[in-house]
Amino acid sequence: MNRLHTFLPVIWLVSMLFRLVLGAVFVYAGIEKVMDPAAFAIDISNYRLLPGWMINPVAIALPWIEIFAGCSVLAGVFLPGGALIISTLLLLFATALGISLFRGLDISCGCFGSTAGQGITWWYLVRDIILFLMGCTVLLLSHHPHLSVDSIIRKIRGDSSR
Amino acid sequence: MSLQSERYHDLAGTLRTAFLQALLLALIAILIAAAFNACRPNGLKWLGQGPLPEEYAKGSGTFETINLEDAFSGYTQGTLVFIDARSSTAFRSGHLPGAHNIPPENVSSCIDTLRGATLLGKTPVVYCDGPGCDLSLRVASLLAEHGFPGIQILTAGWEGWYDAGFPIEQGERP
Repeated sequence: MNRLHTFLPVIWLVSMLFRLVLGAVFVYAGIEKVMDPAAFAIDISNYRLLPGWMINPVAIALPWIEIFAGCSVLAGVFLPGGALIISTLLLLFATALGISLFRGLDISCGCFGSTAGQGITWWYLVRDIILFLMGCTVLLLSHHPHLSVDSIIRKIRGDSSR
Repeated sequence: MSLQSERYHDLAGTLRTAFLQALLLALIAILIAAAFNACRPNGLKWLGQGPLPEEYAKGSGTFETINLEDAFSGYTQGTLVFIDARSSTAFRSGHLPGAHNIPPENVSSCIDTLRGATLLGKTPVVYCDGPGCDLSLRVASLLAEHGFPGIQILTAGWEGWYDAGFPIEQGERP
């Protein structure tokens, strides 16, 4: 038990670094997609996984969900919820990428919203899996966030109730 | 309560909170997305299908599109240079006559070859499999970034050209 306590600062530091990375990536990816929803709709349809009627609703809503989840993880507001959304999305992205790579599709990733650029590769899948594991770590440690708005509010409430 | 059971309850509580918060975050995000989409000039229709690449190319006003008849006429007059954006395997199995095989990852290394062709007054026409693919759009975007003007996209693609019975070539480019 004492040994675990020794490592706690390291665990929280790692969790916080993961939060910053995931939050920044998701906010950036969301903004890029919001800029050009039609291009993102093409990227989604290229995966050939969703029925036609679902493509536009996903192209409209998903970027904003990414931005909100990213902000939540960055600021530490609703941290467990943000981390759960990010982990779930990354699992879905990795599955879609894996299926497309297995099917040999030469398509644009759409990860950051543009139709221009390189096609999908196995590296993208590895990247998503690494980010997914980071998301799971943040989720599991989210009941004790440091340097977050939630913890500041909790501290203020604690001080005022004394 | 044992330490293990306490940890289990801790985790279950975190996941329950996470689920409720995720629902709330998603709901707020969807409401903002709907409002933003309704206000913006290039908003998408909620119930429509995503635009095909050629619709996007037309709508964005970035690239001209060319139909099969005009492409064939340009081919016979020698005014076009075809760019096949598909993989080298697909290219070898069949391509438009005289086409250069330039997938997105090879654009940078093929700039000089293309510049030579366009200097002769030929218009670059990019194509991929057919209306549903976006490789032609990607290659056209990259070429535009390298300063190529007047790029056109053959929206019917290889499938349209082949189905129309127009001449084709097979194997590597000589």
